[in-house]
Amino acid sequence: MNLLTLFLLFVKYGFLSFGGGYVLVPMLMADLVEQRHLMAGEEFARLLAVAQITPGPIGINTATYIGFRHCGIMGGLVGTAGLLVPALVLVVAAMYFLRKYENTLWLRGALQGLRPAAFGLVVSAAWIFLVLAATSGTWGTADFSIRLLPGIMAVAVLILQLRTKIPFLWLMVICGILGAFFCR
Amino acid sequence: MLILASASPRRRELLTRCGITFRVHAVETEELKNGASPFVLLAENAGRKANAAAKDYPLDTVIGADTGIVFEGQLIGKPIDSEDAKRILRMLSGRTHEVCTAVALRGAVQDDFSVSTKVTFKELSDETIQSYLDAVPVLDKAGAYALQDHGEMIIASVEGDADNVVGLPCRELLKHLHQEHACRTLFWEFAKITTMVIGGGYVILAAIEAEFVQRRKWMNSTEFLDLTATAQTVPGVIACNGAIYLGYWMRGWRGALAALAGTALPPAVVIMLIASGVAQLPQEAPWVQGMFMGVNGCVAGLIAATAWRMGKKVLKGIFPLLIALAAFTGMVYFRWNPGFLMLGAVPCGIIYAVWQMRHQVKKGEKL
Repeated sequence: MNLLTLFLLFVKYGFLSFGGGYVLVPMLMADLVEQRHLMAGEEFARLLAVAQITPGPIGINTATYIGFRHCGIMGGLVGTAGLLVPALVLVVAAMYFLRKYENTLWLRGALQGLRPAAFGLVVSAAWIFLVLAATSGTWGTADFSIRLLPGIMAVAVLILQLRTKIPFLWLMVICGILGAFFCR
Repeated sequence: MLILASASPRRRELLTRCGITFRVHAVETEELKNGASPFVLLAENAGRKANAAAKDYPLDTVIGADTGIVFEGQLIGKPIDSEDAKRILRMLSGRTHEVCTAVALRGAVQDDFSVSTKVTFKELSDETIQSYLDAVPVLDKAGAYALQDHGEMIIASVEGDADNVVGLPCRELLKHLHQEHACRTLFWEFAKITTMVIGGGYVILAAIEAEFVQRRKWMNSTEFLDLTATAQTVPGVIACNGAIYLGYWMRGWRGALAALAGTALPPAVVIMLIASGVAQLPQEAPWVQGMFMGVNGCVAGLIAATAWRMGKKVLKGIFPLLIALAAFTGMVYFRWNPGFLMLGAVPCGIIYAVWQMRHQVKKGEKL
């Protein structure tokens, strides 16, 4: 695979990754592993393991990994850029339309629906992270348990964020260190 | 240090509320009153104030501002006496006028811009005018009124930045002040956020809110709502969509690219190091697992804080509550694609808006 094919492939994924980077994973699995046979299933599994525990959005991690594996450093960069080009165009186009039609009934209506939906999804993200950090096992089964400390940290961070001006990166470092020592 | 070249206590108050530290240094200058179009006059006067102060503080950034009321192409000044004040208020009654503030930045940052806000007055009876003049001393105020002093008595609607009517277009001013380092800041802030956070998307949206809305005040909370709505509706990695939106908002294409590079480069480098075998993953060590748990707990709190502040803006009435509940259930319980959930909200919103309008029209007919 040369750089141009790689780039175009990820431009396509960029347009199709509707709903965020997580959507990319099953799509790539179906396309790259099962259809095109560009990657072995085992390697894809390793990629997922890496993408999930390294910093950064999963979509980026996946694109870089695949690009790097096929075309080296340039491949990693080109794959990532390909994934982002559609978003760059589409987000700016969306901003343009938001500004241009802000006083029309249909756009105001659409925003009336979109804003609370966006809020609902942010709430669910908070919930998902809380479950991830503060529980283990599946709800309703015998191995379900609650981990107290991450839950307390979540509440403490919430209060500190609402009441004080401490930069959140500090809070993250502190929670990470506390976690490394006490959440075992 | 920022220098405010204005003696106005209202401007001082507005700037303090923006969370900026500054010093006041107002120099008496001769103000132009006529001879050009109102907008040119305001810009000229703002420039004069800033230039005069900039002579004393050449290394700092000086803010000069001049606010005026423009009605039918004329600049409305301060009233001469109470009869004149009555005349001005009667003239503006039931009509729309523009409040324009010209801002001149001199010194370290050099820029000129102006912001206009449309203000519509209620139909004012003579009694209302009298009771307003009794309640508020207006002789030192252009247009014989002040939004912040019992403005509700006389003003029907304000279209645009209300701070601008009080004397300083804070939002626009902050954008211009931060412009100098905006691209660099965008790159480094996003690089920091993305490196610290494992598993992108919503964490970065929350981080944008905490850092750029709450702390730096580059955006207000309604604008942030549109950012989250757009980032989740448009195809692409949610974190990157948010970065593009904020970057473009601040600095156009350059800003978008700077923010995007900050978000994408650090993880790309890390991944390449791992994929090439240079760096190893210490994934099984218990302390690493514990660190993730701690960070995840912190992230949950961080997102919850953002959600809390969004909720205060969004949840007005039953309809938004239902939509938010539906989105939450769809995501957490059914695990539907967030993009489709967002799209589904669009027709709901439009139908609701049309229904709302019809309803209001009917109510109007009954009255």
